[in-house]
Amino acid sequence: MNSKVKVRRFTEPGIEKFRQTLADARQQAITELPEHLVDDESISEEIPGLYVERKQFLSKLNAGRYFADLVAEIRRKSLSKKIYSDVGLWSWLGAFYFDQICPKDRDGNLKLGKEDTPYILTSNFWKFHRHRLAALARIYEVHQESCKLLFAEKLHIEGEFIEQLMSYQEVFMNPRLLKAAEALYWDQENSIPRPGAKNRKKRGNVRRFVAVALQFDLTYDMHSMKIKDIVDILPQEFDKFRVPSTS
Amino acid sequence: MRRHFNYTDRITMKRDSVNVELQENGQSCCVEDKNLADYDFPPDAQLFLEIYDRYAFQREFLGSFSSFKRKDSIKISELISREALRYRLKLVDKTQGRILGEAKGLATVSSQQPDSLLPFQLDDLTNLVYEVECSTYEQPLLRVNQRLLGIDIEWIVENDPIFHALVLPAVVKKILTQIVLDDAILEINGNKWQNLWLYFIVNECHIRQPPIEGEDEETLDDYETTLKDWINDAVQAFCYSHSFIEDFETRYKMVRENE
Repeated sequence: MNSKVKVRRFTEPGIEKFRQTLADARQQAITELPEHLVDDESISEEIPGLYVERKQFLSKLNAGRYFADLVAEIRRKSLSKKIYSDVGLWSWLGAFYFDQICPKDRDGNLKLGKEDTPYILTSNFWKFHRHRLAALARIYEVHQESCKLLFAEKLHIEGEFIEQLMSYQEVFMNPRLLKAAEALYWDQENSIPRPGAKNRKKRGNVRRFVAVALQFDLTYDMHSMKIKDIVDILPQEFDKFRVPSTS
Repeated sequence: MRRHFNYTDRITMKRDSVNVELQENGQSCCVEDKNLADYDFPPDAQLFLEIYDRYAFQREFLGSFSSFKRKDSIKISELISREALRYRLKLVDKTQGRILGEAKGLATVSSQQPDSLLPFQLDDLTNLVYEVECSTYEQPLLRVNQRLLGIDIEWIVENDPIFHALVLPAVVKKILTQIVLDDAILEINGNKWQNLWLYFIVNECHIRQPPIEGEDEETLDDYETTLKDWINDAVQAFCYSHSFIEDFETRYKMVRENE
């Protein structure tokens, strides 16, 4: 059974402590964060009436659904005025679920990248989507399960699909463009992304899709186009990904 | 300065082509024709209002170009952050789906205008001379240490070219970073404190508007660099337009001569 834990919010010193902990973890081989980080009352404050479970998320979709529900509860109970700008809250959640969102090396040591943004929510609006949990909550809240690509990768992996499709609002806010991307890059039969979709060296990859879609968006009203029509107008480099059902 | 050719035949409409007004405490809005008659679009072209923030979006069909006058009580989705609300207008050709015209950063109606872009107040800042506070929701505030004894600090803040030259560039840089990078607000029109600041910087300091994200940048990090470059250019333009170097030199020489 999953035990429930009161949600907390890091204070400024708490965020700084977390940041320092991550910096230290980059210097030495450790397998997990110090346990007291999330419980330390001197660097975090309790959010009354809000709980999370100590549970293992099976996928990004699983986590997206869970955190979108949490956001809905926060809204309903008015527990945070600006949920997606609440750096203390999301950073605490990042620390609480750290073992699931931080990749590990072969020896089980934490394998942190250069940036803190996957764990500590940045106030930089342009990089918001790099926070592993906040991004998933937002995706689920806006699109639910309609774009499988956005939930395709493992929770601890920095997702190329999220990075590309969520970086540009013209793309992320357009469900038809997301569906067109899915039609190109999602292997329905095996429920996995098609090979080469994320490879920046391959023609017609998802990054190119976004670049081309942004160009078309200047000319065409892509919100009213059919998914098939969007796929059809893409240039030849996308032929490899075009499948009979969409062309 | 980066310039683009427009090969799309799309007309860039003025931001005051329509008025948008928030209603019911931000729960809904109304939109009203103001200068649409200035344009010569096909009468049956479809008019859409798009309401969005960075990660949520809704679209309202307003009617045909020739028939639109006003639409009231447009419910705004609760997913859209009220603090980052933006509006744009799109005119779409009904048959081909081409965009005929577009107005971004629509003007919103408001009667509230702050007295000063950068008010200041005296505070106990312990060992700091000054501090600038700004956040997404609060207009910037320059706090100056009230413990500075024996000098007319209020006069200095308002009039001293040395104080201005040394303090204001850093203050402006912090504020523009908040606006462009943290709040992702790029429009000069509107009634948020961020719009008013950008309007001031663009029009009074003669600098281009902050660049919109586009296909020129390979990655998001490139775009962030582009925005940081713009912030640096804007601070330079601010200093130039206020003659900080000249005024600093003049004032400094005067002070030395009187010593």
